[in-house]
Amino acid sequence: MRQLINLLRVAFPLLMIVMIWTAPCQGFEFQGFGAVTAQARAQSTDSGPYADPKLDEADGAFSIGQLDFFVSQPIGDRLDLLTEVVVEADPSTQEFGVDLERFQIGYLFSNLLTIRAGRIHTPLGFWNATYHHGAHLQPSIDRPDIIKFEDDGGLLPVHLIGLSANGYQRLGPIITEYDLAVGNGARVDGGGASLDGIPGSATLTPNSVSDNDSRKAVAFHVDFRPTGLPDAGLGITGYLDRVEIFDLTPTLSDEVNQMILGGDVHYDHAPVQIIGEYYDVRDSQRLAAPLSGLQGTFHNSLFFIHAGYMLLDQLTLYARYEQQNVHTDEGTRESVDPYFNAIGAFDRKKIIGGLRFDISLNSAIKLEARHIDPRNYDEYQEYAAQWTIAF
Amino acid sequence: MKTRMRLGFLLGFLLWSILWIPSAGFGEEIAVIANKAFPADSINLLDLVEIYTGHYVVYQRFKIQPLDQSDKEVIKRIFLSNVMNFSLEGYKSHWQKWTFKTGRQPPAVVQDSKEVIRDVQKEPSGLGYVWSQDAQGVEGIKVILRIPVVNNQR
Repeated sequence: MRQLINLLRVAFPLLMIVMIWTAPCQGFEFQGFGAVTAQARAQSTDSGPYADPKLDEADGAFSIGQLDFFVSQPIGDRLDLLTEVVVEADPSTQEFGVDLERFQIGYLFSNLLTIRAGRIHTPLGFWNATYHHGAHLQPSIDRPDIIKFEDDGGLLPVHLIGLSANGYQRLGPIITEYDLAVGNGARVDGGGASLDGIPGSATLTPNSVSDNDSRKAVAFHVDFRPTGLPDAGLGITGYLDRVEIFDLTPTLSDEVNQMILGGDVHYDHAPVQIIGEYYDVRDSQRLAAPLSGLQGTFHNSLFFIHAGYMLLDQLTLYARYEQQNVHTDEGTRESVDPYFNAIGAFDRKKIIGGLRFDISLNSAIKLEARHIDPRNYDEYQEYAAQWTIAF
Repeated sequence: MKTRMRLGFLLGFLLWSILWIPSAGFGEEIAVIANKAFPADSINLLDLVEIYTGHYVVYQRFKIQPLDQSDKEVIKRIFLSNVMNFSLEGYKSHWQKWTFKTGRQPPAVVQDSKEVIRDVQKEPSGLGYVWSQDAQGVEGIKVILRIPVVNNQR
């Protein structure tokens, strides 16, 4: 029975894709993205007592990234549909699965208002709402750690299921674009305080098919661009939710009121690209921690700055600095914030240097060297190469 | 002898002027055209840029259907570099990202100016760009913006 369900999970989206592709009169705009990545670490610290618990399992190995099928289609004058279906491997089981990453039905009222319903990317900052799942379009091999996808060890709720409103308005010399969303809040599965000193390995779940509480998450992003320099922008962003943390049983083990406030700057016009994002994550614990009995509000700051410069028509040099400060406890090496503790986040710095060679508009090769400094754990280096394609 | 030289120089100058001046683009301009039913008689340059980058999609409750010219047309490269501040590859890259982000489609590409004019005549929400002289005296369309071309490579 389980095999049949798994078969249907793979077959149904593929059947949908074939139907869309072969539909005689719809003229769907069908696109896709794929990537193959090779990665190695300079020193193996897997077995040491101070090894980064967040070490990527791909050491000296090739991996197939997300195979992303994307369809966008206007239906009549004002309606439109957007779907993004991703086939990806689960590193722990080595099996491929199919995820519906985005599904949106939209209605355009005016420049000031488009309403969308479905599974969207949370309007948090610039990167999350711009690059989505197609690795080819993003400037580097991976997303910044702080906005990685939930099932890839991400720290923030980057998907939201619900409604969104967005629009565009020019106010004198400033172009303003807003995005407001309300939907199912996130939950943490498999979390809870650990007893053995090993940070939690729970995952953030966006509650795609139901919601474990009646409170809804609210998120917004407002972007300001000067009319004289429309490729430059300054954004403010926010997110409000109550996140419940379930242990493996699964029993509710903790609960936080989460407020994320942030800002971003971005400039993207050849040859220069700059993206910087900052988030202040404030978690107010609602239940007393089972072990310590403490209750409080925890402030955490996460940020990154990415800069790229196109040296030649096809060659771009880039660098990125990432930092997450999540109040890691010196003794236990865990975060004292129950949310970050559950998902196994701790203080961490990362420096990336990379080279991107665009073979054409639809294919690129990226080479990266990374220095990772997980506070309280051994520092290490990673080297990675990625070949991406858009079709 | 001197008079013949002067006459020869004058004729040479006239011949050079006839051959060179049009290619240098004096008096050339791009005309942005819309269907007669378009609700405005003029738009500004910023509106146009935002229309062709996919940010501005509705004009006074009118869903705009912008038309683009094929890559081999010289006017497209001039339009992109002089008006949009994009290279051809940069513009395609912008739309690749924008479609992925918003689901919106890039302007429909037609073969040449004749086809732009024909489609704008047929489609009430159609909007396109052609050489100004191609739009002169054409029925069913109106010129809503004229953009002088500084360095015409026509």
